[in-house]
Amino acid sequence: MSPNAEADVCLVVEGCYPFISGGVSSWLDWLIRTQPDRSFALVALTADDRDRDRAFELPPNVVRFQSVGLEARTARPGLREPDMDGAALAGILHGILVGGELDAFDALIAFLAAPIFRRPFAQLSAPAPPTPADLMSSETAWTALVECYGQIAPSAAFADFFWAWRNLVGGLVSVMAAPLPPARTYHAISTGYAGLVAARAARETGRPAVITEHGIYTNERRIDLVMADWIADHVETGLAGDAQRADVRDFYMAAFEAFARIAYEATARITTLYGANQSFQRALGAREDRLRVIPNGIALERFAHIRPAPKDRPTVALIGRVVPIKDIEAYVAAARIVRDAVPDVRILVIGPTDEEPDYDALCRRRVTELGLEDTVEFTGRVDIADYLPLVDVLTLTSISEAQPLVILEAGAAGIPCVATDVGSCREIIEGAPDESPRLGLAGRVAPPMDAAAIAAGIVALIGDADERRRCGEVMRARVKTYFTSELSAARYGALYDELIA
Amino acid sequence: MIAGPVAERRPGGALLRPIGTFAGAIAVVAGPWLVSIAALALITIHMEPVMGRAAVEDMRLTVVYAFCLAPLVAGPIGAVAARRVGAGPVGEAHRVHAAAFVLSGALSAALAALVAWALGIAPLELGLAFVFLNVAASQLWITFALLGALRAHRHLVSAFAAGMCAALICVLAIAGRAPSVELLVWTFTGGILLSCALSSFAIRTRGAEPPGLLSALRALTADLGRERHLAFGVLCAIAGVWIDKWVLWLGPEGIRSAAGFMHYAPYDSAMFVAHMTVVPTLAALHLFHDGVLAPQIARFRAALAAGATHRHLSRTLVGAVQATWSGIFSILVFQGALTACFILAVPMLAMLVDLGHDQMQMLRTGLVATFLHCAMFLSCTIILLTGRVRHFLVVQGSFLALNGAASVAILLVSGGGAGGFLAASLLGSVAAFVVAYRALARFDYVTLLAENTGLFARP
Repeated sequence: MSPNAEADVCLVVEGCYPFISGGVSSWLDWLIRTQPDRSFALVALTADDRDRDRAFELPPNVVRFQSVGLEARTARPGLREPDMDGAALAGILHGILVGGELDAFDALIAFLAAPIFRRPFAQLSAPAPPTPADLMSSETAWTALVECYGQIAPSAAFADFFWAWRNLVGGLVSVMAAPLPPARTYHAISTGYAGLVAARAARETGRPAVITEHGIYTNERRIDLVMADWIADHVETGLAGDAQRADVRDFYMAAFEAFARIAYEATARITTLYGANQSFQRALGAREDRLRVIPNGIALERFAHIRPAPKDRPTVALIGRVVPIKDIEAYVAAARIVRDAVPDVRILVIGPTDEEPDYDALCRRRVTELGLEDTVEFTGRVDIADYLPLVDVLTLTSISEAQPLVILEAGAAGIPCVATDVGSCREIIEGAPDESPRLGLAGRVAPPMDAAAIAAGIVALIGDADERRRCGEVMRARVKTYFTSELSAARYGALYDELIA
Repeated sequence: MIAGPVAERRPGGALLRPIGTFAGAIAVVAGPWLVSIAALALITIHMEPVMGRAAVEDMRLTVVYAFCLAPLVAGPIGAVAARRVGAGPVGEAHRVHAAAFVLSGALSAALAALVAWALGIAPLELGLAFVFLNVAASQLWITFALLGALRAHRHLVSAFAAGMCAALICVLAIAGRAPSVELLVWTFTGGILLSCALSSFAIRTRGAEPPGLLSALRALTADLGRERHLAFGVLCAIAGVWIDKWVLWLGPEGIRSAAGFMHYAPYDSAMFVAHMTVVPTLAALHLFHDGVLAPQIARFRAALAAGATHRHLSRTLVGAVQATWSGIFSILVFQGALTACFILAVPMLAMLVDLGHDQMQMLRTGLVATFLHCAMFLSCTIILLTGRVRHFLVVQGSFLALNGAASVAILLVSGGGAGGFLAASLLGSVAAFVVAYRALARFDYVTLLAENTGLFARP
């Protein structure tokens, strides 16, 4: 790789590729490989600067790779203080963290570029731009922190606010200080810090930037923050539920939404996998003329030839990791209801079971408690192509999804699906609102965590072979029309052509 | 106000209780030095008729040199070791004790041997006794530091008194046999080592695990590296008090004793008296630290840990700042009044300790200088308490450089005196106050950010 070569596209990713295997990482690897004539630079944002093993071998058209740690572990401040305006810095950071103002973001870029003196004895050294240590650990930084605390969450525990500040502003400073690879366009795969890198690149270089969101970053952070037991709630809102008295949790959420606003405003295009996601983007200020939908695609040839194999029992399968977000518990509960209606049904859990051993043990205990030992089977990690011929109905019981490839892959094989109403599952099963001509129903949709509704959907398909066949054909047609790898790759190629031109 | 709740633990009435408390504090901070001075004085009185003035002077100078050189090594090591003991688990003291003993003993012996060789101390037996006395003195400093960290002050004073009494008894026992200087030195060394041994019981009973010496030495060396600013700061602080004396000892007015020790008796005697007059401040600071300073800092930290808002923290900090500076001011007023009395009483003091006319002027200057140095010392206590160790190093390093340079300048211009120490103490006290004031006023910033070393990348 040449460190100074200008890439066609600089991809900016946070917390996944090339270190973590998973849906988004696999998609990124697919994206780079399906654009072999383009050169890519890759900026991977990680929690800290530790060395990490890579889960993916970088494709040959990645010309530059850099890893940026978000943890604000700066050098210790020296004995001489940077001569900076604390009130100005406070105003800028408040504008970014709370207001989501692009003007404040531009002001921060300018602030970081302006040379400053150090006191006392300013004549001892030439002025130079402030360092990350100046922005995080100087007395001026402290002044800004205290002022922002007074405006944002004056009733919150100060120590908790301090640590939240270190996390949020530290990440902000890290992305602002990291070197930017030269590229003709910048493509962030989420808002958050990756979106800020893309926004910074667009404002500093004048090159266009684009954001692609699989799940909506702010929604995912909201779930994380609601469930986070490491954030203590100190502010008593009382019976009146005083919304004015913000706590640290509110500060985190406001900051992530603010980051998203800045990223949406600074970028030329904002894509997502399905239309329902765009409502969240609009709510955070994304302009209509910048929004695009580019669905995921699968390699049709790998699954299109699959036909049902003879079997002695009707078979329902869930393909996914045994982790809480897949809600295997609900699936097991639904399996009991299905077994009552269809006594010889076979219920498969196809996927790795070693990611969360405690949860895996819990699910297996539920199987035993419900007397489903002869019905439910955990296969572990397998090649799904080997199992798809045996599956009559695919089920997905996730609490949160973006655009699950497993439904598309099963759909390519003509297998109907019962899925929870999360992410783009409804669009895949019932068709997008603007689908024309309407292809029809490819399965059933149920509310998340509703075992009875999930079971009802399964029973409706298991018990009716014609309906199952009809839904399977609709799913196959829908995948072939809208969700192929070639289609998706062509759309991204067109997007890059548009931006680079 | 200064003593806080400490005073209430002592029995006695409303008048006796504070006096008793203060006397106890003097015993803690200066007891060992007062006992050793008393022992030396008694030895001088009894042995001078037997051995002659020159021999007793050599014995006295051997002790002075040992108590000058040993702290240069043991002071920094003791300070770092005490931090580890104060912060670590109970068994830590035992492990750190052994490592500090070995390290400081070895380095003290090397330093003493170097000085003995450079000065040409003779005879060789005296040189050897001098080296071992330095090792014993360094062990004593380490013991002071660790027992202080363990809050075992009474044990320290008792052990030291017992050791010195034993030394004195031995000296008096051999007085009739016309002992040599080195024998006297060995006897004194034995007393100090006995004190250290008795003190070690307090440390051993607080730790359960036997030390792995090599691993303990490695850990202590690593601590010294990590806390190098503190170690160098302490070194500069100790050297800063001595450098004006060294300038005169090595200057044209310096006198070589029979054994080879350089000294300048007129200055040494006057400054010795001047330094002794600030013992009350040390005692007051000890009470103030335990009774007011430490609880104020603890209250702030407790509020922070309990989830206080910044407004509440600021109020707590304002209270701490007010209590701290009013206490410091009270101590300085008290010491200032004492110093003024001593200045007025210089003629009487000169008669008591047999000082000449020139020495009286030195004493007056020295009294003012030690008062200002005392003010600097108080501010440096605040600086260290707030965690501003690098600033402490800069203040003490600057004081050392200034005292040395000013003493040399005054020696060249007017032949010597306490003017260098005075000038350095004046500037040092102002600088230290400014640093301490800022550090305490922004203690929230210092605690959470500036001195929160866990936030920063290792260099």
